[in-house]
Amino acid sequence: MNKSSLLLFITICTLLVACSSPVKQQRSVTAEPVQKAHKHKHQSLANGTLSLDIIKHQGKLHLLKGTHQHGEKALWYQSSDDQGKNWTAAVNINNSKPIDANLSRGNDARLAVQGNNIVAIWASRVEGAPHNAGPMKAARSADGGKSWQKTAIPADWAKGPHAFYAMDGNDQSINVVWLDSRNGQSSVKASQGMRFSQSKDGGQSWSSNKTLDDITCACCWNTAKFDSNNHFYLLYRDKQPTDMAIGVLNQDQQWQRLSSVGAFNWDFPGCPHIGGGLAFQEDAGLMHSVIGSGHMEHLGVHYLRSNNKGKTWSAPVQLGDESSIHADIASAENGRVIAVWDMRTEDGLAIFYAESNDSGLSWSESKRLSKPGMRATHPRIISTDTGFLTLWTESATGKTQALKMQTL
Amino acid sequence: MNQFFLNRFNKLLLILFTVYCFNVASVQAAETSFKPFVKGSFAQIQQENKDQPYIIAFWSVTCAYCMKELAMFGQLMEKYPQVKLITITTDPFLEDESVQQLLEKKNLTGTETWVFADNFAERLYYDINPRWRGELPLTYFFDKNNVMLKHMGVVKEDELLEWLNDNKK
Repeated sequence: MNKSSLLLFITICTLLVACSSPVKQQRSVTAEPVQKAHKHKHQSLANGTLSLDIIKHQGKLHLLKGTHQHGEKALWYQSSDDQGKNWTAAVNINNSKPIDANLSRGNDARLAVQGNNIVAIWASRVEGAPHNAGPMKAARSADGGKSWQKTAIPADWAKGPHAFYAMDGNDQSINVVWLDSRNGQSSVKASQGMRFSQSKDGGQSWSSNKTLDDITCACCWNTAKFDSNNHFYLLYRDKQPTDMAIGVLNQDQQWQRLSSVGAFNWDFPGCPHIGGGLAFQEDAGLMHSVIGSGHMEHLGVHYLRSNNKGKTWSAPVQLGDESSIHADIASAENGRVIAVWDMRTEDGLAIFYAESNDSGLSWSESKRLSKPGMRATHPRIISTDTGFLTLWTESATGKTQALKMQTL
Repeated sequence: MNQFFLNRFNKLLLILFTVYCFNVASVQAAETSFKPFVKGSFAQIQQENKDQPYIIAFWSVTCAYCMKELAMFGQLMEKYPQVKLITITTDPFLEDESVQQLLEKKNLTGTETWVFADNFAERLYYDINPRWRGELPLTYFFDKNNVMLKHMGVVKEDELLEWLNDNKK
């Protein structure tokens, strides 16, 4: 080998060795070394309970949990005849097969009951679609939740995604509302249309869809409840402005938007991801509501009540501080009302509640429900025959998320 | 004969070297890693960019209107190279591949991009602004005099253009 060849060989070998060394990217110094400057290969989806719905129907509690375990998602049904002290064994509503679903708190799978029929609805997952969001899926049980079958979906348009379901049932029917963009993109930013369908046969078939409000917030959860007169009330986030609104479908399915609930004139062209809660105290002719707002002068969660079936509302009472976000409310006929919400603490979000014993006229101090060290969000609450049951999901690290329940 | 093989050997080494270096470069490009956004990162970004006009756009894959806003930035920013765009996704630990694909779709490849690196996003919301609860889109404008303007919700195109024109050097 001559000198020039030898020199070239050594140079190339040196370069090869240099190129083979691990490449250490220079990263700017972060102010606080909480996380390593790593590639983002973490599993962002926690294991555990990702979705939650609970209802009381004729004294029985019905629970629908959406779970994720090591890449597989499932929906599980349970019921309780003793106000949540004991629960039946969880039944997988898809015959133990995993489901392709988008499950998240704030866009939870939902359930409703009509007699012995139970219907569950959830958002499907379509890889590659915007937000991986697909049309709704539905399953029903005709034997009180012991066995489940796939069933027709309420939507008569499925060319795009549906989301933010709310539903309720009574002896006559199961009513469902959800958001979709079947009429194309609205001229109003961050809006979708509120659609409605009804089943009178326990979820086997559904009525033609009706648009209740063509322009609503595109990304906030909805709350729907029947009163004892078969009026179906819907609490949802409106647009222009972005305040919460309430409307009602009467027995003839005539829709009427009743009022704004918390008329703060918050106009937000974006995604708040905040809804509200609704409860009836019918003997006293009262409606109770909690709503979240991002209006800079009304940040947080507020309680309001109506004594004329949602036509007008009392002045808002702020619950917690301005970091309060997701809230729910339940009431009993004896005038006891409890509101639950999540609010920022040193652990991240934590669950708090406040209680009224005079039908919402005065409220207790806020009390923390979730334990320190846990990040707890999206509480739900229902009144039971003996008190109240509140539920939420919580996590210590973000890797697993657990369902928690507490009676109040 | 010996010289003939040496020449062949040298050529082979050169080819191998070229191919190897190309592969390394390709792998590095494919493994583009976005910056982890942690407590303190917002202040760090401001410190690092204080001598120029820049925009910080927070977005999430679950925010349809963030996608529209990013597309608008993708269309407009190349006409205003004097203004730097920094994007930050609030989806904790969003995979690099997803971020990369989205930036490509929005014509924002190469944009400085950070990814929330805390499973509890509200801790970072608070660090950015104690009153922010995660509503999106959220955009910060820092003009050539380092004056900050916060915009909650979708930015209107005419307002963005006006700001960009005001901050041309």
